[in-house]
Amino acid sequence: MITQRRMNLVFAGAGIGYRRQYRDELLSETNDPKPSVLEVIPGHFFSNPEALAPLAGRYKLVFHEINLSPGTKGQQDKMILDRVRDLMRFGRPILFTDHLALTRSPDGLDIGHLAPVWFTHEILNIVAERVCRWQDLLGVPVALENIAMPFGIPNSEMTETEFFFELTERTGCGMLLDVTNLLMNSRNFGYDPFERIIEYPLHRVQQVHLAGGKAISGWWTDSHSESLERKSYELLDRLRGKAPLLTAIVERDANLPELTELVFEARRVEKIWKDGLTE
Amino acid sequence: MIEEFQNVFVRVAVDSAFRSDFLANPERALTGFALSELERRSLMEISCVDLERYAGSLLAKRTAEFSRAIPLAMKVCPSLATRYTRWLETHPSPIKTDVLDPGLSEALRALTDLANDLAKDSAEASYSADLFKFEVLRRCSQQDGQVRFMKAQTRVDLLSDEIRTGLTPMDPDAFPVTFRFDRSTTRWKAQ
Repeated sequence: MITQRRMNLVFAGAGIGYRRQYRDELLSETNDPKPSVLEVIPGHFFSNPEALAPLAGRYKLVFHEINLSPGTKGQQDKMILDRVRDLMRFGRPILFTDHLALTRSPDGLDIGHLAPVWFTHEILNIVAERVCRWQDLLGVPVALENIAMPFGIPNSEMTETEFFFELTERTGCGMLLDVTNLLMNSRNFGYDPFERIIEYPLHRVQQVHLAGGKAISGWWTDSHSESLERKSYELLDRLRGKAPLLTAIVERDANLPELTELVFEARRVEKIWKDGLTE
Repeated sequence: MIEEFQNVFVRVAVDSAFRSDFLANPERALTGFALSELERRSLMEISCVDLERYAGSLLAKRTAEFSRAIPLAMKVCPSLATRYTRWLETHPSPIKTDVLDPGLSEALRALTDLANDLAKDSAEASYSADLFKFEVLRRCSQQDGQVRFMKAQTRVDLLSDEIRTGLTPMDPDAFPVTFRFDRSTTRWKAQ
């Protein structure tokens, strides 16, 4: 059943992706700067859900899933959703997100990463049904993220931005706009990210991701291994006044810096969101 | 049929033998699959360069996760990374159902084959297979709480302590033991 959800319009601040290496510092009582929001990957807590409770007691949370594969025909996500619901007993997120992607096949192979979906009406129906089911089962707002595309599947019936527009209209779900993925895609496929960004359903963008990427053999990847570059901040700035953001998250998975450095980036993101890009 | 399209698409990405067939002769590789003409054409129009690059990135990502999951074994036998990559090319991953970290889950899946591979290789340290098994099984039990057992030819728990401090043990004495792992403890007894 297709359902419509009201959008919550309160900005909770900017945050960082939670990594175990930062746990002690995040939970410490020192006066060191801390992020406003933590984005956690539910799977990191499935083996020990209680470990989420102290974080939930200190921070607003976003759950960011990577394995639900909403583009795959057939419902193979019950086990993960059950675990996510169990995890919510220890911390309730302000938003639940995953990617507009394929991570598994209907016959049971796991890709281990994100693959593009085919932008067709048939896939749109599949994704929309899945998203509505998640919204009903989890009872929190759901948003899907644009991925760094390795390639597009030929003979699509619509563009990625049209797909997001239709999906968000039909289901009432939000969009997690990864401005760095947009930036990487624009470099790999040769378009202007500042022109492309306004084609997304900005009135549905509830979260933003920002990360540092790099080029490997001439191909730009969202490596999450570098500091943010200015263009990511500029893309964020373009969303001001247009997107009902709940949060913006700085992602870092490799070359992990000191926590304070990441928090500084998150603070800068927060300031840009509130005051605009002034420097 | 969209299910079949997605099955083939994923197989091209993660199954190196099928991908080679597909890139060499796509029409023949797709014979027998229930695909519409548009689906067939769309698969064949994906650039070979893009497919190869993407498949390579998938292998690299999984190999990095695998290597991070077994830091001690990797110190003693860094060849485990390439052994795993080779193994993965012919053993695509099924959908994960456990609660383990992805790299550890993969290490557990590959455990028997890679441990046998190491044990047969005289160029590797004599205890490398036992160390690999010990690290994987202990970490799995610490994460998911399941009780696991393993037999080893030496006190590989002591060796792993040495490796953690930066030492590389040489020719440890044979001392056959059985280990028992659970979430919080590692116990051993002489065989």
